[in-house]
Amino acid sequence: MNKLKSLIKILPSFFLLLLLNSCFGGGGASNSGVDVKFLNNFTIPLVVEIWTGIPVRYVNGEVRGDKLKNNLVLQNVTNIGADNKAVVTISDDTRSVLVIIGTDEGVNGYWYLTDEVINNLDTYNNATNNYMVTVEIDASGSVTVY
Amino acid sequence: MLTFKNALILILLFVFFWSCESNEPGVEYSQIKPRPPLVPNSTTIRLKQPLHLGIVTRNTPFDFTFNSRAVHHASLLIFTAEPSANNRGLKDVTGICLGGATSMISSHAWDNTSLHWDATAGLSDVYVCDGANRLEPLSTSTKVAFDVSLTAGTYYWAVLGYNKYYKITHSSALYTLTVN
Repeated sequence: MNKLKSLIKILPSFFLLLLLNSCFGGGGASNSGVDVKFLNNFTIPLVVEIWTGIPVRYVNGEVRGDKLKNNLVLQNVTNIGADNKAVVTISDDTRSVLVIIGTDEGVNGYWYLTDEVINNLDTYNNATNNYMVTVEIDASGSVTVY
Repeated sequence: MLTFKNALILILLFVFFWSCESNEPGVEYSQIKPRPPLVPNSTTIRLKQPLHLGIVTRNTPFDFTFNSRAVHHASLLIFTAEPSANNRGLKDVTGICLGGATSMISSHAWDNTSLHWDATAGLSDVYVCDGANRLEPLSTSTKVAFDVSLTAGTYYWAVLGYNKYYKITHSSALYTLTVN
């Protein structure tokens, strides 16, 4: 009987812990973000998908990592040399993002072109409190991140 | 002494920290799908550069890059036209094969990761398809003469992987390459 009473006493604490855990998502959340600028000198419309997590990588349609967060899918990044900007939130303390670039050929959805993992973002912008990343796709499809 | 209450607290703490680590999935699905391999029911070989729909300049050397380390033998083939739907097993590439290289011919340079295309034929790693053997179309000695073979236009390329019995088990997607 005493054991049952002990159990009943401790149950509220248990549920409080679970609530705190769910509220704070396991901890490690950050308010930092990433300003991502896309320069598309490629010949056809592109789509860009950005993921944060620890670590993140693309394998045959799957994105693998912990604390995964899909921040956005940008469509029709088409204008040559235009600044296609996006802001994403870093969901952990690793300061890394996965950029997946696909083609939008108008049939059967988006097809994979390439992906880049950007680790250890270090170009912090004090004015926006965000890290800065430029993803440039040249005419051959080569991707440069800086 | 470990009382029942203390044991219960320890168990609950364990459950809490375990849930912290496992409450977010390790795998999600991208909306951007991988291109299917050229040969149906084969395992995908990843191509890196030039990207699908990429553009190269005729007189500028470049490298085809890929990863075929997982297979016994591999070939890179450049086509002048898409293999037809009923030839996706690539049983016969006569008439559409421009050139390439393979690990199955000892005179070819093959490192499973890159193949150099050069405006100077002597510096290139790409050999012509001479049609001598419809299953193994590549010449053992004649390289692609750049000015003759690679005119401006659209080409296609893929990497094929073979098992030790020379059966295709792996293939890449078919990438389009524009030469200007």
